[in-house]
Amino acid sequence: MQGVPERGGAPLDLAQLQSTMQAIELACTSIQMHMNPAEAEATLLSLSQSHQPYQTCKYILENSQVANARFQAAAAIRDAAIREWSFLTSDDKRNLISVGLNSTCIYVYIFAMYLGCSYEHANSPEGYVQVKVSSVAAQLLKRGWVDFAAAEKESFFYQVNQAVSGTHGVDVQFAGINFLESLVSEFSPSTASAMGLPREFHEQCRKSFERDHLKTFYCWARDAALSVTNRIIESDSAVPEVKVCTGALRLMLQILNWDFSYNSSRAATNVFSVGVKQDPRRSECNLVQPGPAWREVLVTSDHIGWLLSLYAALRHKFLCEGYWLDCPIAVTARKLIVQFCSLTGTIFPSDNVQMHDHHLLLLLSGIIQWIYPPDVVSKAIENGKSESEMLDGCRALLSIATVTNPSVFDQLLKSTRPFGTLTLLSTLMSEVVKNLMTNNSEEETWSWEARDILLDTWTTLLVLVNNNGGNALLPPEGRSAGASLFALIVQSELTAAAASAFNDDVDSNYLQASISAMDERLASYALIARASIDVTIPFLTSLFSERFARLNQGRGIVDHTETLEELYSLLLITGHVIADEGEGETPLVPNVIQTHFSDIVEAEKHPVIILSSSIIRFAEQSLNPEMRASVFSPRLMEAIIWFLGRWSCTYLMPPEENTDTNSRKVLVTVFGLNNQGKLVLDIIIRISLTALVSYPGEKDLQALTCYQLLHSLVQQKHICVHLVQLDSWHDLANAFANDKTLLLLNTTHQRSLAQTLVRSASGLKTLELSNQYVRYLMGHMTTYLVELSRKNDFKSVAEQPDIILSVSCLLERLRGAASASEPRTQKAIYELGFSVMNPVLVLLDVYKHESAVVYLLLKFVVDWVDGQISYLEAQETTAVVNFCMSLLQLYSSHNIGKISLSLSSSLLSEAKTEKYKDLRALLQLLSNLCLKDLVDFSSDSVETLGTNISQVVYFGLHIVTPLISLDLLKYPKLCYDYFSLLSHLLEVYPETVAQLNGEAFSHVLGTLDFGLHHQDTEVVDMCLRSLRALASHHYLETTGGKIGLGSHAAGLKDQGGNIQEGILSRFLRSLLQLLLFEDYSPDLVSSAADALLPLLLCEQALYQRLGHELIERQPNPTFKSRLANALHSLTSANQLSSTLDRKNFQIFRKNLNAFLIEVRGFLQTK
Amino acid sequence: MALPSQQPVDYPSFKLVIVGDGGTGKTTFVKRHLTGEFEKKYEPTIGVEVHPLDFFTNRGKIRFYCWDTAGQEKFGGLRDGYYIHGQCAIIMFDVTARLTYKNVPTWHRDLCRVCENIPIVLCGNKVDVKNRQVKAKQVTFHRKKNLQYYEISAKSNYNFEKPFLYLARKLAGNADIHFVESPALAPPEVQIDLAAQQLHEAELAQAAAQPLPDDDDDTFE
Repeated sequence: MQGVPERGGAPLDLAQLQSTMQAIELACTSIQMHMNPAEAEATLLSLSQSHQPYQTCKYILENSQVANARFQAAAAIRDAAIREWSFLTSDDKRNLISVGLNSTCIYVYIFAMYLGCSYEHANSPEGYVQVKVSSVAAQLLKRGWVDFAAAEKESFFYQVNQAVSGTHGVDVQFAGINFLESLVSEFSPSTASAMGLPREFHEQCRKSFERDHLKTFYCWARDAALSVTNRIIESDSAVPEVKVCTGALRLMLQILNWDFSYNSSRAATNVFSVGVKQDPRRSECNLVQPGPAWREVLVTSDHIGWLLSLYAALRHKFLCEGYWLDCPIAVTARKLIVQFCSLTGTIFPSDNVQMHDHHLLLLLSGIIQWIYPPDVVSKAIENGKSESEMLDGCRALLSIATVTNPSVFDQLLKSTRPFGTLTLLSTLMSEVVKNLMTNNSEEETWSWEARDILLDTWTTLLVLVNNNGGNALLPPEGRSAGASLFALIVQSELTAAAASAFNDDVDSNYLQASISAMDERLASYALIARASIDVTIPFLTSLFSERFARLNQGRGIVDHTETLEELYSLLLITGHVIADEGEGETPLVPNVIQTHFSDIVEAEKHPVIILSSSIIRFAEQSLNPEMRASVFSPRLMEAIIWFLGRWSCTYLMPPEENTDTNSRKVLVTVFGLNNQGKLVLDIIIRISLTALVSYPGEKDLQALTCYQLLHSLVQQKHICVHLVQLDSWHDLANAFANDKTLLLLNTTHQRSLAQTLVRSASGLKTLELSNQYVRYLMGHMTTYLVELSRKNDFKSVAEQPDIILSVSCLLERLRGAASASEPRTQKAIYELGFSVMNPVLVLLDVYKHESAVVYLLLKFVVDWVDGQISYLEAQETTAVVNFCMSLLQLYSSHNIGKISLSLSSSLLSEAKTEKYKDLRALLQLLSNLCLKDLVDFSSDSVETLGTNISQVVYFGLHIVTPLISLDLLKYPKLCYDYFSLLSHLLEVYPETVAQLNGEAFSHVLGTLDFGLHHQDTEVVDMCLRSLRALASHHYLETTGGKIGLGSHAAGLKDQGGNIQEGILSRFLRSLLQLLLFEDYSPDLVSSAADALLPLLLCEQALYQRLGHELIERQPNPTFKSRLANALHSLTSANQLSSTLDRKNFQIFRKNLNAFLIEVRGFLQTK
Repeated sequence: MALPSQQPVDYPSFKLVIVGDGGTGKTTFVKRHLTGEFEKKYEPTIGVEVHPLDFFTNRGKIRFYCWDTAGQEKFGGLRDGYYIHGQCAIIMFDVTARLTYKNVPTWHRDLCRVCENIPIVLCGNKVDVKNRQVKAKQVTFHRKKNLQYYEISAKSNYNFEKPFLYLARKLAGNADIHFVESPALAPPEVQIDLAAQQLHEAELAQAAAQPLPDDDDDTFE
């Protein structure tokens, strides 16, 4: 090895190397101790940022006793080499690197050094240095991947193969395997290290790696493992070869985790025997689909047989020293076996179905020992055996379920055992559920985890059955296994529920699951239940009637808490079994329920109808005050309301299509509009009203009633038609409009209720009726507000808590109504807003110090404008625009958004919160006003009355921008809103920018500059779009002989007489600075190009000067000329012209990309 | 593991490395433990910040020196250089930003390269936010890699101590350890009422499609 190049090619003297090494060592120690971290970091970064630090790094790697320092030296080689790669690979003839080192040498050198240091430190606790060097070598190899000839790679890989095959001993063999592991990880897109190169580069590497090397490396790993297998099996204690074998298995596992591109192109035409399943869950599963080229290696060569027997041999060794169930080699072998269960796709030939089945059966025969017999396994775990093997067994079943269908899955085991795989699954799960019941501890135990995995397995198998209805039923044996499993599950849930009845701890075990886990679990239970629906529905019905009877018997005497908890749980389970979640659509009756019971034509015999009716009848009893007091606890009501919400989406007055089966017909007619539908709807509304009125303070119950139940009812127009005819609905509306009780609800619930009630107006026959209904609902409230604001003594009473409360309630209700705007009710809602315009201004004036009210008021206006603006006629628009102007003016005149610095720090932060919320509302208001220019349904143009939306918005900007401090922009949402408004404005109304006064203008640009350096790519992107719009506008205007941005672009003299640079010049500078010297996401280069091009065209003289300066600053003559050439190509390559059309923008994107790759590396070297 | 810049302690202490993409809430999570406050603003961490966190267990006190590292590449400083001698780790992602989950394998790989066989917890943060992009079901990475996964919310304190408890147990090799005295927490900013949550969750997808009266915008996120 000739040594690495160093600065200027001259060898560094030893003393210098030594002192650098000491400095680095000291810095490393400081970092570990966290002493003077900034200084230490600077020292370390200076090494990696220096020009060709290789000799120093090599010296440290070879001589330092401090492992950290060696680690940092390796890291520095990586950083420097990646950065300077483009000229390392360039022609050596230019004598840039006099030592004559080309890049191939670098990684060969590093690999040799890696092996060297592996050898030296093979068993040191500082393995991380070795791994680091390995990863550096892998990254450099990848960096040069495209540049090198196949022969160069060949010769390099020959060395690697020598290492991996074990010719140089176990330690080198292990090191070689680790190197391949690093390599695979670098070439795999999900773990590739960033290199400052476009994504195409990584993709190109990935493809070529997969095509030419992946399988070879797999075979090398396999051979390495094979070469040591006998040694391991024959020895009684752990031998060094175990390490090699573990590494090799890990590498094989890693390769099987590769995201094979082969399958993505073929997925659509996959005619694999078992069939491709259309299930969104499956795409998340980790299928292994390497394609037919891998068949020999993975399937037909008895590779699996070897793996299984290796693990079987390991199992016998678990009593030996150095082996245990969770020792690395055992863990890795098991993972690999599980991974093989996911093997699927064209690796199995379509004309040989048996091959896949045989493959799975082989695996299953090995795996079954981990889980069978379940009771024995479970007992052993309870007695202290590790659960990991059992859990891996469950995972294997999940993987197999993913690549088969229920009947294939079930058949697998039948060929060797008297029972099918479904029965195994069911027994296993029963055992797990039993264990859960006995050990109901709050912590996640093994049975908890096993339950989740096995439920996933059921889900995977049954989703298909569920979707296809009767077409892919389970085998009968599987069905009965499922039914008894479901019974056991329900029993366990009920036991848990009853046990939790007297547990007041909110965090009790029953609710311990992560937030959505409970629901997912219930969804899986539902699938199991549906697989044997004919048994499970009557089963649920009987459970309900038992409990209903129990409640009736001991009413008033017996404490029913346990029964109530059980009912709560039953309602949740039943809701999931008989109805699907809508996911935004109206859910249909589950397929299984539609196709089953198809022979039943009498409603009173239909199990689902019987079940539903009995629950509804039970729920109806809550209307009776006496029953309510003794039985219907708020918590039970929550479950009832939830159930009714879910149930009614599917069963209540379904649209009358799809009545293809009798069963469906019965279900439709029973709860349809000609039968009990209206009756049930009426019951539901009365129960809702009860929940709102008779359970004061039960926020959760009321939230469910408002947001879930009532809200989902009015989503369906055909239900609204009947709703508005019901007396109960009129009672609700009347209570809302005239009664004080509902004013006691949480204000946001009142908003929701207002929205719901207004929305139901869509069920009324005529436009006039709809509007009349809205007036009826809201009339009192607007009148109250108008009168209140006119009161002479309003100012003096305004601060009274009850007045503030009722004002808040009314504003929330108005906001709710406003957000329910539809074309049908638009007129009435416009009038509603119009009539309170003045009161709103009065309120703003009076409550200027009551930030909560101010905020409600702004949000009402925001929602009202949002719902109205597109429909308004010119005159109305003018009124709204003028109103918004007054509102903004008033807001600003009271300095409501200003924060006094004299506040204490906690008050200050509170004040900031208020201000933040207001500002977001104001930004939303401005954005909503902008909509008028995009979507306008009115018959006349706004301009006819001289109203210019952009003017208002700019006026608004004048008011809002001074309030937007850079500090406030640190709040992510506000920041996002602000910049999206800004970029929208600049793109749509660039000409009005010039009209902003100097102060506002420079403030806007100040924020743009801030946003340009923001961490959020989207924010930067919006700023770049703003710049593009600004500069393009100026360029087009000035080339057309107009003034464009005028004085803003020309630059100004400030008070001191100094000339301030024009804004386009400023942004040209800062954008170039950003692009060349700072870090940013590679995704931004295109947007940056789009902004840079018009800036360049506007400020050509400055650009020339900056380019010249850059070149002059470059000390190295080679770089000088490279930079000059690159700058030249940037503006001339690919026939770039000076127009701003699409094609030209595209050319410039390409040019900029090439330019950055060419020069960024050396420009950043310090 | 002690730091000279801190007073040495006479009870077990461990170096805990916290990694994950920028903006996923690492600093907020640590600060929540440190001061009880929930930081609403986002200011990227530069390099690394080290904070000692003490927990009281039934077996005595335990200290984690939390190395809160920069998530953003450009503020990364030494990046994996900070991981050296890490004894346990937390990988954080944001369930409302899919990309942060996609990057988990890289963070995990980098960690494992430097710290072999240390206990690692994967945390999906911000589960209080209504429209999640990464559903619990979609989080599968930990299964492949034998990590512990917790859904957390620094804002609501949900599963707040779980990651530390898991790590403490693993480090002590004792599954019976539990925390005895909760460190003072600020009242949660948003209440995750689990009972109601079950019900809400059932309708979550629906909620996403139908704009509920949503006060999301009334609070910080």
